Amino acid sequence: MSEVKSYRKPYNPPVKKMTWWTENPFYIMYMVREGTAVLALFAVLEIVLGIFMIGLCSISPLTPAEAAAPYIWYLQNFLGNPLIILLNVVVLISQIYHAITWFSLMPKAVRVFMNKNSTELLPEWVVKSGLYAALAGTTVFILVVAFLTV
Amino acid sequence: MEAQKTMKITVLRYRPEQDKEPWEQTFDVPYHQETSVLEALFYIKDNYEPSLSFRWSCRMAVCGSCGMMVNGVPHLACKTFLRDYEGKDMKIEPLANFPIERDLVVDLSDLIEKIERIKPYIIPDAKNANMPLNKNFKQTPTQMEAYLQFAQCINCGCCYAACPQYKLNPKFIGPAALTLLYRYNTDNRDAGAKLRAPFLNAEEGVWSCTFVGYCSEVCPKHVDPSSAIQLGKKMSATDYVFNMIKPEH
Amino acid sequence: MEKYQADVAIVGAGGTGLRAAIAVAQADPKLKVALISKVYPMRSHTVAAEGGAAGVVRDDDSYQKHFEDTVAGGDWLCEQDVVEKFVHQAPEELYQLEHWGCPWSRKPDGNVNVRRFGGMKVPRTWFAADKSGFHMLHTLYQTSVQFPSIHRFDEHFVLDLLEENGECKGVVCYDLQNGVFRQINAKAVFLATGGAGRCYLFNTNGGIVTGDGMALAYRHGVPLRDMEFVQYHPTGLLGCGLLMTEGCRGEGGVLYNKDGYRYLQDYGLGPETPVGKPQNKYMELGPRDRLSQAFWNESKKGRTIKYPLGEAVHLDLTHLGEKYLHERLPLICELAMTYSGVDPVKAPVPVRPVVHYTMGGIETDGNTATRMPGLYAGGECASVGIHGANRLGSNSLVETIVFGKIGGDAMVERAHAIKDYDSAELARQAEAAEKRALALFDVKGTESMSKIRREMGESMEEGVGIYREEESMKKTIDVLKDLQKRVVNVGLTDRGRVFNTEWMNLIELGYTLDVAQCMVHSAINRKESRGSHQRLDGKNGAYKNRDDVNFLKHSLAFKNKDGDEPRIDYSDVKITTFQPAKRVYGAEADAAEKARKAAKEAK
Repeated sequence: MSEVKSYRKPYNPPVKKMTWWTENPFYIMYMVREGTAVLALFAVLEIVLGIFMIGLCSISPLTPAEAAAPYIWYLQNFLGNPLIILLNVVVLISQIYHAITWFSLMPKAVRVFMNKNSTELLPEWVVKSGLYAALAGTTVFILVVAFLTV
Repeated sequence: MEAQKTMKITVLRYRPEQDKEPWEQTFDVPYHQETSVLEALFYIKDNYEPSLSFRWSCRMAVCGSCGMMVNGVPHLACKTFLRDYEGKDMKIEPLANFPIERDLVVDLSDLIEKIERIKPYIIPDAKNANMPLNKNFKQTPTQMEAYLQFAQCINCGCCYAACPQYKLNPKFIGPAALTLLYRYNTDNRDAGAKLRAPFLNAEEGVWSCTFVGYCSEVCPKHVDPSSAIQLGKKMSATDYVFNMIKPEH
Repeated sequence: MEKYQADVAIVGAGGTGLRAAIAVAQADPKLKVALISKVYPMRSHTVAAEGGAAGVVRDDDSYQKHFEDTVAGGDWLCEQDVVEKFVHQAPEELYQLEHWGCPWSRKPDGNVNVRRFGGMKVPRTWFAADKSGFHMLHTLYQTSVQFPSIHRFDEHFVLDLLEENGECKGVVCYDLQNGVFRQINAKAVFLATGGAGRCYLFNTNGGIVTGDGMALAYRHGVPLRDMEFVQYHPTGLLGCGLLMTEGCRGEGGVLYNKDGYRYLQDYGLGPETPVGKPQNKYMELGPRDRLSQAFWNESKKGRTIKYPLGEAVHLDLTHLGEKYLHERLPLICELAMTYSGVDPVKAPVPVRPVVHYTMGGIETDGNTATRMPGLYAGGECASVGIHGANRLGSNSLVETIVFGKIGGDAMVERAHAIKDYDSAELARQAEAAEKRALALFDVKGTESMSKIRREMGESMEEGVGIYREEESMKKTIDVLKDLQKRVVNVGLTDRGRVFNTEWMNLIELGYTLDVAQCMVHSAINRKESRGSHQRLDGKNGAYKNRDDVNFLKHSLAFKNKDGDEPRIDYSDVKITTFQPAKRVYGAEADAAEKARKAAKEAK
């Protein structure tokens, strides 16, 4: 009689380590969302550069106009560069996209009941609205502070 | 009755004792408004290709046998209908991210092992360990609702087929098993969270998830495993902080 | 052939099999349990049970009432001592499942809730929304994984029992994944393979419900008892036959014919109860056999609703409202939407009777032991004697766990009492079974398996459907006889060993055919009407009535050594305290009860 232990020969489909995400629109959207992090990094570096330029101003021993030169350069030559403006618009759009997609996922991480005796969960729109309100609040706050200090 | 329509259905075949690798076979399958993908497979098996193998049983989306890829998306064959693909061709493949055993049958042993690994049973605390058999645990409808959605998993494997992290790292415990872990941890009859913590907190536990969210998208029972995993991350983080403050002996 | 030496082998890993395995593992962790199933445990058909499980918990309920409902519901063909034991153990087992994590639906105070069910006097059905079987099965499966002594053989298909000196000593199976055969020796073998609804074309059952265990026992000389009693569930979804749980009616769903008339009041189930106020044992909460028979009569009167997919009546749930329906009957809503395109919140669901359950099965005593030493059976595949001629809804889910536990304990006792064994004879039998299975590959015939399956299903519906007559049953007998001859001429196209479902399906079809034969032969010999077995014939319609003089007894279908058809014999019914009476529902039942009480007081 047969002493074969197994007739199995399972086939393992190859994994495309680099291009797996191109196979499915859902994955593509996910990669775009993750990709916005790179643009966020650009925005951070941009701000760091601005702070660094302000720093250069204060240690300068020259006249006020000359002292402000590094920062003026940053404002006019760097931020004013059409390419940088374009890039900043792209950054803005990407971050809005990130916020929207992230906010739409956030209710999954919140599981709160309406009250102690309820079997109804806090509706998703409440969580989302809260997030959008927080975003709007922070934006307004930054703008107000920015204009007040100018 | 309306005239019968037909659809071109391509099925991925693989016979381990004959084939080096999978190949495609195409059939013309007549269908009507109610024809499911599973019934299309019956038609193929009865009329064209009796050697085509696939798993199935209940026909009502609760036994979890017939998970497979339909046009690249994980579905239960019994709950997917040809009418929704009208005017298109259809391609049926075995569930992604699992080894193909034969035709549309995949090797699920990894999924089963993970489900069983995370201690998916009530571990009562000492004072409830010997509750008499004429009494139930108190569990209010709200307490039940806390986990009930996560107890609806039918172990079909669709979420694993949808998960890119599992694809890239097969060690990842994965959506269904982590959801089950969270289900037991949030059941007020259970006191076993500490014993499950090593699986929750491990690198291949919740932290391997990057919140792609596709598992929840394809789940045929709306279990929302990605929700359970994010909630599991909260649980894991709280656990971590708590242990820093008050180290265990 | 690979061999595994177990103490206990359990075939089937649904509710009964898992419960038995846990019982053995808890009683003695040193006993090796082989849990064999042709699918993964959570695919077992227990998963599809919807309504719930009966167990006495309410203050206004009693074991006596559950006992009486069950025996009367079974038209007095129940083993009353077994029913008594059963109703007493039911709550215990249900609480046990609760402790193991089953999410039984709750009352606001945190205690388990119960719902109404057909044929039950008091609400006593524990439920987990409308996924009771699903939650029970997953709870049992998940609980079972903590016991290392349970060795599972998933996706192993049993081909034969091993038998020596008249005792059952193991099984031989085909491992689908590896494509090899395995011999499993055991001191006790427990069959928990479920029913045989697949004998019929239109059924609520999964594809795996092919009567394997019944046929295995039958082929080894153990009789199948009361096989003529096949339950038609009154509310199957039109077209696919998927189950619309009795819980629908328990929650207040009502049935209408084409005139919008609640026709059940014409069939001894009235008077009409107000919509939204269901009353136990009245109208829609009558027993399943009566409701299915009412449909048949409505159809004869031309009062059913014609759809392209066939005749139906309407199950109306709309008055229950969206919130309540989604909470209590979520699966029903999903199934009706998906498979019928009807939203029960907005419109009535077209339903019709559909084959659902086999009341009969492998003859056992009250402790699940068959007449072959070493062989036990429990669950739907067995006839322990609690369902009689008609099963009440929600008695079968409890049956799985009560008799799983009882069977497990009985096997522990046997395993302790006898020594491990092995013999050349067992190996010889295992190899013979392997040879027989492999020989199917050599058949050069041209018969089609799917055609045989279809002809069997159609013929069973015609011959042994809701109502039965000698002539049509004879036809079915001839058809099955012919199919038995043809099935050996099915040529297989698939010669692979790994996951060869064509090969397995053919062996399954052989099992199903054997069981179908037992059903129709038992039916034609029972010349009376009782429970789900209703006849229209006999001299002056003599068989239309219950005949306690001649037929208050169990039918036994034995495998005939010489012929290819079963031999029918009979055995007595155990009656302890509840003497046979007319089986009544609705107002008639209340009147009967009043009369009984009055008579008692007069004494």
